[in-house]
Amino acid sequence: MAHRRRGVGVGKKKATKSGNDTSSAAQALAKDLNEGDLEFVKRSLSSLESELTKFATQHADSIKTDPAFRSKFLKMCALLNIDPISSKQTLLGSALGIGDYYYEVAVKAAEVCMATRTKNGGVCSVEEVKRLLRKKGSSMTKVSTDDILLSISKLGVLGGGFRIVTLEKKPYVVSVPTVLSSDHTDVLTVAQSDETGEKGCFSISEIFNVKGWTEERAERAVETLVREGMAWVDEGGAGGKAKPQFWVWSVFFQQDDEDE
Amino acid sequence: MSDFEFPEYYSFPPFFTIQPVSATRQKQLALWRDLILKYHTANKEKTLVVHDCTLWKNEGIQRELNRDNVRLICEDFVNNGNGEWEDEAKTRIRIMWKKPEELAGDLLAWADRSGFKGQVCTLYELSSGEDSEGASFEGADEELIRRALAILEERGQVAIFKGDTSEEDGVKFF
Repeated sequence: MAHRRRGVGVGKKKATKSGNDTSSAAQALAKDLNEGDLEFVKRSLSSLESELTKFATQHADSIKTDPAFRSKFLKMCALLNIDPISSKQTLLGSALGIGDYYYEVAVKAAEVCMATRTKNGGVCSVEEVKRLLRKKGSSMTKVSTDDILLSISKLGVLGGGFRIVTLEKKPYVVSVPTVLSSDHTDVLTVAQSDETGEKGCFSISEIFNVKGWTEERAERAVETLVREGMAWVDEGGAGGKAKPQFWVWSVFFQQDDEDE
Repeated sequence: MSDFEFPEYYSFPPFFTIQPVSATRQKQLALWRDLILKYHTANKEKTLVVHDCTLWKNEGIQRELNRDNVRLICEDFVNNGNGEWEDEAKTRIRIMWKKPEELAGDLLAWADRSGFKGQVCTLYELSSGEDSEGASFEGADEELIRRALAILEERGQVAIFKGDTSEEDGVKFF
């Protein structure tokens, strides 16, 4: 750091001294500085990376088994623009084998989403994915919400429609390629919201009240959600006399986040 | 009633409306089959009386199946081999707690486990005997056990002997 500060200070003095010479002098200085800086940065980065690797190796167990620790470690890596997950070639990646762990989470999360697809139409709350993964046992008993979010984001690269959709701050995994327009997610958000009727439920009139859409627009959005199996039709309200309501499986059965 | 624990989907209101979308409906019918089977097995009930089955209505969420939907679910249940109509008018279903093939496997495993291989026991002992306590076929419908045994007999894994009454028919496990 000391080297860098001195450099900047000198530069300022010179630049303010005289008028015409300034640009060429500044350029020379900038070149000088850049080279110095670059070398400095390179050195710091490589020492940082080796420190990080040392740290990671020392704490490999905690990183693998403690979700909170892992999450902090990954945040630290992200700040340094290092990706220990996808870079298996790097020392860090291979030392940790942390990438393997996320691949495993991704594959198992995909499995869980596929298995529940016919019920929820491919919309599954991350909480539910977590619960099901933990039930699978072995390496998954301590999987965290962050792990799943991260894994799904890696899965998304492969296509197949895997992505995270957030409804009222609750993350859901969408595992079908169906394109969800903002109208669709708006309707799902109405279902997610506690303020409007029961959780997991929406009706045409409710959408009208909340969003002010025309009946036609609401119906079109609802139709897609029903067709894709994301919403179930309920004609049994008020002894079968009420207008149909629609229920979203994954929102209805959403578990509150009990632990982390 | 027993301590049967209803699955969570039993409280999902649209579970009681037959779904218009085919894929969802298939899943829904499968869930109904599962529910009917588990409920009757847990309560050791052998017969479902169509017009008088508590499952059709969930007071807790004020939903119930209408008559057409009950009919649809029952037909689907029978068509899947989980039960059989007991009468022409289709008012009662004999519940196959397990399909005969599954039961046959259970019987064989049980005989192996409890040392009945090479021994003879009666049909009555199988369904109500002390040795079969806790077995999947304990208290099962006699007709169902017979069908499972017939499968095993065909495979040459058991022999069946006529007894004085049908309950005293003997079975020898090989």
